[in-house]
Amino acid sequence: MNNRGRGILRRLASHKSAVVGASILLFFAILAVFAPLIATHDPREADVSARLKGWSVDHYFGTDGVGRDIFSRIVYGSQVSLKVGIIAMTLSISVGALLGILAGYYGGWLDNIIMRLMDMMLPLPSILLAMVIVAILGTSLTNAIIAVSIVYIPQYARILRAAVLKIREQDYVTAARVIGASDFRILWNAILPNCVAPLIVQATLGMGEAILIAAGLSFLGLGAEVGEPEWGAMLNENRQLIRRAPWTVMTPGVAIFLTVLGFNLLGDALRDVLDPQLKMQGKTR
Amino acid sequence: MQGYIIRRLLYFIPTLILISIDSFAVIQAPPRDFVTTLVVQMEARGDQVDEDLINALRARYGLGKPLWQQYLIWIGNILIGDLGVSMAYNQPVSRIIMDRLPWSLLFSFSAFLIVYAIGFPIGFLSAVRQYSIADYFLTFVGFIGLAIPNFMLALILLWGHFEATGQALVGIFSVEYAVAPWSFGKFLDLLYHLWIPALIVGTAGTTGLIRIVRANLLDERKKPYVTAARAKGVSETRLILNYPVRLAINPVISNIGYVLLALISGEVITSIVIGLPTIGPVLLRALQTEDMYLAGSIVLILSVLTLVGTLVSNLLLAVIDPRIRHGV
Repeated sequence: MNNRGRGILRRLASHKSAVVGASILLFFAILAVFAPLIATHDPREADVSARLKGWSVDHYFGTDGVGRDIFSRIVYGSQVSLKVGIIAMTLSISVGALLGILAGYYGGWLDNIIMRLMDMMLPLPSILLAMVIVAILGTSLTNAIIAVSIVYIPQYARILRAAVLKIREQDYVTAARVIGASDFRILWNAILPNCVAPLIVQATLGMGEAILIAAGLSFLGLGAEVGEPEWGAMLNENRQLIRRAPWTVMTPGVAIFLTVLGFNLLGDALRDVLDPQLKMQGKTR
Repeated sequence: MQGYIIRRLLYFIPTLILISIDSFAVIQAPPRDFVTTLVVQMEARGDQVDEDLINALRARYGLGKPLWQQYLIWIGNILIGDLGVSMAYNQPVSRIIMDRLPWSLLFSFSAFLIVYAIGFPIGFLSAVRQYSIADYFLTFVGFIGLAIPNFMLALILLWGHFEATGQALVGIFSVEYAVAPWSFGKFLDLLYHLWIPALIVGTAGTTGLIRIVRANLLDERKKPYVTAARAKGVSETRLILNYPVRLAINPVISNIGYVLLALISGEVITSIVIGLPTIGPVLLRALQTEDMYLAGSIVLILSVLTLVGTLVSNLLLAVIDPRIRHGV
């Protein structure tokens, strides 16, 4: 890793919040990757004779309304949530960044069209937009992922476009053009590396939010299918039981909370390290 | 300044049109058209299907014509106040929305007040007493607030309230006051029922605001003019209040748009959980039952409200900050 990278990592490590956040995320990542090894039961196996049991040696986090082991569901749920976060962000960034770069670099009518398209999506509150997209596409986890990624496209487009506009005027870009570098080469070598900073920050924070929105959608019945070990859906299934069996609701809730917290802490620290300016403009979304 | 206002208004109108296209897309989304669905439902209920009525409906909503014509007809209908008919509720959409919109607005507005009334002073305190225990504690709370999913918070608070008082905090009024005429008691009951949801929705916005205010104030304090003023002997309080605060207000106001978005999103989910008679639950049901005119109209109205709010915040910003007024 080059010196610059190492310097960034060092500064990052000095932020307590970054360390905490990264640890949390690492924990969940391990859960997700090694789920089959860590889970004690099959997450979908319902043992009605053991319904609503509290914490015990057999079932670390107890059982839910139909007798499924909550611990295993949470462990597999981390797989689902991380999958959602990563896929949604990847899709969102790919499309959004592409649009933003094209808009910024070529300008003119292309810029106008793309920005108007983005403007169509921005005034809509995120949950609303996600709900509508899922309603149109149909209820499923895949569609929830698609909905979430669409919701975030305008943000990345904007960030990238702003970065590209800033850099486009630099001398080294002009120099590259003068010696005949192709557009693609200029974009790839000169412009892209400079856009990476705000992108990383936004991606990290965005993953937390994506998981939150996806959980919200599942909570409303618009996301994960019945029986799938997704944290939001677990909250929904068991919400009537909150008085008799609070652990059925609290455990997935805390899981969501910790994951989002992890992303927020890490993202915030990244923002401090990479670009303190962002913090004051309040680009928390 | 006039130039700025005019430019903002000019920008507002095309965005309004774009939003209407969005909402129109929502309405057109399901594969069957509205009248066909209506017919299917009526037949399922065993109602008589009146040919003339069906044809009249088709003509009124312009189904079967090219898409852009349908769009214009829809817009025309909206302008005279006809937002279509909801099939699930069997009422005109406008009536359903007008029944619930005031509550939604009241609710969002209270959340909005909470966000700014709590957020700003806390951010201020946090900056002034930087690195103190209070600062760390508040920052910590801030992170927590941002990370908690608001539907979970809603569930927990509902549960807590139930355990504490033995009553379920569902809806906007307690049973006694639900149908009673307005009185001071009823008003108090409303406030009592309102503060928990408003708090839930406001949590994320408040924490965001705290961090923005804090960051800006801290940055301003380091600037040379502050040191100069302090050297001249201006008291600390006056120092903070007169200068950095004025500058810190800038991003606060420019973020009203984002805050509104968060509030509306939060309001939708929270009112679904708590069962408030606002627009949220209605939207969910509309989407689930493919009640498209209702869904599309709600989307339209919420987006327009957000847009208006953003516009107001932009204008407010121009009033407060001369730099923006004169186009610097």
